[in-house]
This record gives sequence, structure tokens and C-alpha cells, in this order.
Amino acid sequence: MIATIVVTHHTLAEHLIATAEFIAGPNENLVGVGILQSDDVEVVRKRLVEMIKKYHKAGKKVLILTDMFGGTPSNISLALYEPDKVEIVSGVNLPILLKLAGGIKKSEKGLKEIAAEITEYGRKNIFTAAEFLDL
Amino acid sequence: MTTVLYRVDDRLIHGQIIASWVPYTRATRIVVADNQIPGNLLQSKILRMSAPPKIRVEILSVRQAVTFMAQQRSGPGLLTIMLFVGIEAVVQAVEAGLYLTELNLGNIHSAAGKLQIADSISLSRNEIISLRDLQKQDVKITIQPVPTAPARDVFNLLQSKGW
Repeated sequence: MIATIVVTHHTLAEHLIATAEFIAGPNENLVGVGILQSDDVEVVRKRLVEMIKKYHKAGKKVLILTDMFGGTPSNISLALYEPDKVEIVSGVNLPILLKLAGGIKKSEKGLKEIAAEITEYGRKNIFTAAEFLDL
Repeated sequence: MTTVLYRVDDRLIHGQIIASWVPYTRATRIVVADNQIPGNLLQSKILRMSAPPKIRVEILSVRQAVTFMAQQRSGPGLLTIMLFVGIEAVVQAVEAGLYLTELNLGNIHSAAGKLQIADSISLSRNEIISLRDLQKQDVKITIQPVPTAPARDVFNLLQSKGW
């Protein structure tokens, strides 16, 4: 079983999750952490560590999705990487969350494979109109 | 070499730096001056990775960073952003011979007993004293999270809080 934590700047996590749940239905294994300008990084880091501990105790692996490579949410999360226990993907988008909600038979795959699969899926789901509308 | 920004930021290289300050200043190098990070392999690696690909990143102790900046000064080329995790590191750098005329405060976060003077700036008594010492050495100190936000004078804000 995998739990997903979306870690972003400001309130993006909250709204991204609300939107994903609006489309795909509630998901108890999907939570968000938004980092505000006024937040102390160390406090956020400790909060994430506690969340991860809680999931691990419940027998769940943790997939962290961050909004932008190089940003604080990503920088904090990368330091929490643990092979096969905590994996981090940066550049989260709505297709990725929807894919996680429905499209992966999670029990059959390892954390690393799932992370690789959604990374590829997120990339593939960015389109420019000219790519397919220009004849 | 020209230093385009001296900044105190406890998040070091992060969104505001890579998305705002680097394009605004056209910086091509970031020097992180900190006494802990050079000894922490994981943190150093994450910091290096978080910078845009064309930016050179130097992660040095405060003392090494000051020497590095002095050596580079005479040479041509890179526009540099110098980052400090806290005010204490700036004081150490100035004691070690760093010369600066302007200091940007970006993110200094709250802890018990600190006075919050802006969204992302909370100062301890010692930090306020250090800032006053820097001011006496003609360093202009402003709070400005991103280039498009106004630069606010730190002492005006302190005054409004009764300091």
C-alpha cells in the first residue's frame, strides 16, 4: 500500500488534491502539505518526518509529490528519500494525481516503479495545441 | 566578478532564488557561505541540484567563501549571488573581511522569543544588534522577498515595532 503526500508552495497542494478528489472521488491515502512564506522550514520538515513515520507504522510506503524541482518543498522532501520506503517525484500535475487515483495496480509494483511510471505519465500529458491541430 | 546580491535566506537556493532573483540579476553563479553545509554531503548535493543547470554553485565555509570572493573580485566574468543561512554568518563574513554595501533579507524564520517584523522575517535580540552593527559599517539592509516586491528598510520596520 502506498500513501501519497503532495508537498507544494503556498496552497497548491490543498487545491490540487481538492480538484483531483472532485474528479476521481475521495482518497484517504492522499494528503497535502502547503509551505507558506511564513513557515519555518525545520517545522515543516519535522511534520513530514512524523507523517512518514505514521504511514510506515501502518505498513505503507510513501510517495512524495512536489510542485517544482529546486523549490523549498522539493528541497525538504529530497532529504527524506529512503530507497523503497520514501520516493520523491517533482513537478506534480493533475494527470499524475488522477493516474494515482485509478490507473495503477499499486499492490503489484514497487515504489520505485510506480514513481517512474507516474513521472513518465506526467511528462507525456503536457501538450501544445500546434502539435496535433496544425495540419 | 560582480556580486549582484548578498542575501540572508534560511531556505538558501529555492523557488524565489531560481525563479525570481537569478533571472532578475542575470546571475551565473551562487556562492553559499555556511559552516555546516559543506560537511553534509546529502544537503550539499540537494543544494547543487536545486540550482538551474547553467548556474555554478559554490558551497563553502564562511571563511573560505570570503577568500573565494576576494580572489574572484579581480577576475572577469560571473555575476554572483552570495547566500547566507542567517545573520550570524554575515557577521562572520564581515569579520573575515567581506566588504558589502547592501544586504537583502529574504527568509529568516520564527523561533521562540523572536520578533516578527515581516511575513518571512523574525529577528532575535542578538540578530537585531548584529544588524545595527552592520548598519554602522554603512551596510544598507532591506527586506525584499522577490525583486517585484518593494524593498523595505529593516530599521523602519523595527522602529514601527518599538525598537
